[in-house]
Amino acid sequence: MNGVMKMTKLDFITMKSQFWAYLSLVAIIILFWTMGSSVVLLCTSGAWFTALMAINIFAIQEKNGLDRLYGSVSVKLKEIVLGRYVFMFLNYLMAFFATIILYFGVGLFLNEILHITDVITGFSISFLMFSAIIGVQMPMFFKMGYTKAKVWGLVPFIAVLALSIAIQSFANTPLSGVVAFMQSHKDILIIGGILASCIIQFLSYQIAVVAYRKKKRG
Amino acid sequence: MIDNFLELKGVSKSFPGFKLNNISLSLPKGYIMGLVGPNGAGKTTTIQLILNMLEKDAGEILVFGKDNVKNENAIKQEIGVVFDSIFYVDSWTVKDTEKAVSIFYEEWSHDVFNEMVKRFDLPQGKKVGELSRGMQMKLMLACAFSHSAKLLILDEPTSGLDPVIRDEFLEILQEYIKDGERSVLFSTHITTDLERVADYITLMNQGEMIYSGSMGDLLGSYRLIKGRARDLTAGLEKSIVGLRKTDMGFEGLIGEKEAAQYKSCVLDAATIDDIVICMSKGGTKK
Amino acid sequence: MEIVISNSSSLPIYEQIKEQVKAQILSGELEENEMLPSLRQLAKDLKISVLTTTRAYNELDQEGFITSRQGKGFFVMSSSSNLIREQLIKEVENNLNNAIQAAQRASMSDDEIVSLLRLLLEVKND
Repeated sequence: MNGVMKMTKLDFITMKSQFWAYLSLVAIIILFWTMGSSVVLLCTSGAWFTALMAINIFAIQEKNGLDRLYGSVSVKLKEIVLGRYVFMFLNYLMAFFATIILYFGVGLFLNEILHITDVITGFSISFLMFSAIIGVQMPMFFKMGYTKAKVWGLVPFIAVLALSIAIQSFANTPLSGVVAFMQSHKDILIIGGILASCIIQFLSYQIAVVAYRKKKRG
Repeated sequence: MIDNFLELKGVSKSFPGFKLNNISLSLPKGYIMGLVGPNGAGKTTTIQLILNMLEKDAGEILVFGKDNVKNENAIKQEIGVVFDSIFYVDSWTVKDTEKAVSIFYEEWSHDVFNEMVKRFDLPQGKKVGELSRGMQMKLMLACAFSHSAKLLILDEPTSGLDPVIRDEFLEILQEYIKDGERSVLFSTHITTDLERVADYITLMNQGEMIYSGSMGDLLGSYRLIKGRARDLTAGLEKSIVGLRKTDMGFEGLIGEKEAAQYKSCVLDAATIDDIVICMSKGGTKK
Repeated sequence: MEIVISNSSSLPIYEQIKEQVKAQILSGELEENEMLPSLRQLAKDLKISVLTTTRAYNELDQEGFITSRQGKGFFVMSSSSNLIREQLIKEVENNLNNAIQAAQRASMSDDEIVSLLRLLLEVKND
């Protein structure tokens, strides 16, 4: 196992106490589903709540002084940071799979028509949103620690929420043209979304490494 | 051929408001070195630099003869670390802690860990956060011992612990170096723990290194001199470090060689505390 | 071999060890060719540093009371008890010389010195 995977495994063991939070996440997804949300909305709200919950690992890290554990074992700084990004990504994937299992499972049971394209669109948009949120947060948390970065960390959440509400309400304005364009060229949207997410995560990782290196970790 | 397990050569690190300046020390295989100094002396910073948790501005750090940055991962396989407060998640049990820490070590021994847990009487059911401070320290030690660490680095491991545990702790350390193949770097401001058991000592104050070498040489180089006011000649006053004058007389630190001339005064053996206190009062005259 | 260290003694710990080892050789508690505890075992039992026991043993070795055998440890030299006795007798000689000089400063005659010595020996033997 290389250093990155070791750190990711450690992160999961670290979050052991948050098991109930993971369960309530599943409950939230079910709740949204019962409200008749579309797949895209299910994926994005699942991702939004996942980001909210998974970022708690920084709180646990700070509270227990885990920087000292990371510093005393055989992993390089880059592996510590990358391991955390992988951890966040796996959290996202878990939420995403929970969502589509629910969607497909119940959908097949109720004999509903399932749209694979919607699922893939849902993945792209929700992953983009997830990347945007944690992409902004992670370098901040690595640099300042949980307590100091907490307030600033809320900004991307609120921004994304506000943006999504704004997009929905722009349905009847000139921007509706853009929305319509995107809806008719779903493949561009999907690929663009995934590409943008990767770029955001990559840039965020580079910044986070520099930020963590500068932090006093003792 | 002396095998040095730890070597610092001219190590410096600047912060706003504090500078660790030109620290050099050598710890050979099989011995215990105390890192002593008041709070803020730079002991923790030195340890962080050794572990590459901070980047040094200048100097060289060699662990087991290898550069501490270039060979960081290989070196850390053989280092056990204990800090003054626990660095495991408070909701973990002893078992979770082993699961988490053993991930990083190729030579983790489950048997040794269990043996340590039994020996230290660590309660398996409790969470780390529920353990007493002494138990937490023992848990960190148990992990440090379970991967064949050759060098133990301890940063104030016994601060806040009662004398019974501190005594137990020293015995554990002496047992650890008994085969002559392992070393200990032990930073503390509780000097009584070190005075008898440490072979080497590095004294620090305000980022400067005051002394680094064998404990016997340090304690043998100084005396505590006390006398009446009339015995304090100009010549004597110049030789004393950290002079303290009262109505009852004077006292201070004096070199062993100079002390021979002043047989009319009281000449006591100097303890590490005496040396640290007098030197921080009177500058770092040697 | 049993050693007891005093923290309040003015003698450094390594000196105390040396004294007690020599005393035990002389009294026969430590026999010729007997192996002493290892440096590290002694350090651990007495709760002192390894360098301290090393110094004590090295000096005893240099002075000829014990010897180190490669890979095995430190052993009492067969001639130690004689050596120690010689050392102690030398010390008596020095002390007696000092006493004689002091007696001469007090203008005591040789006969007075010898009587005083006899008197003190009687008192000691009671």
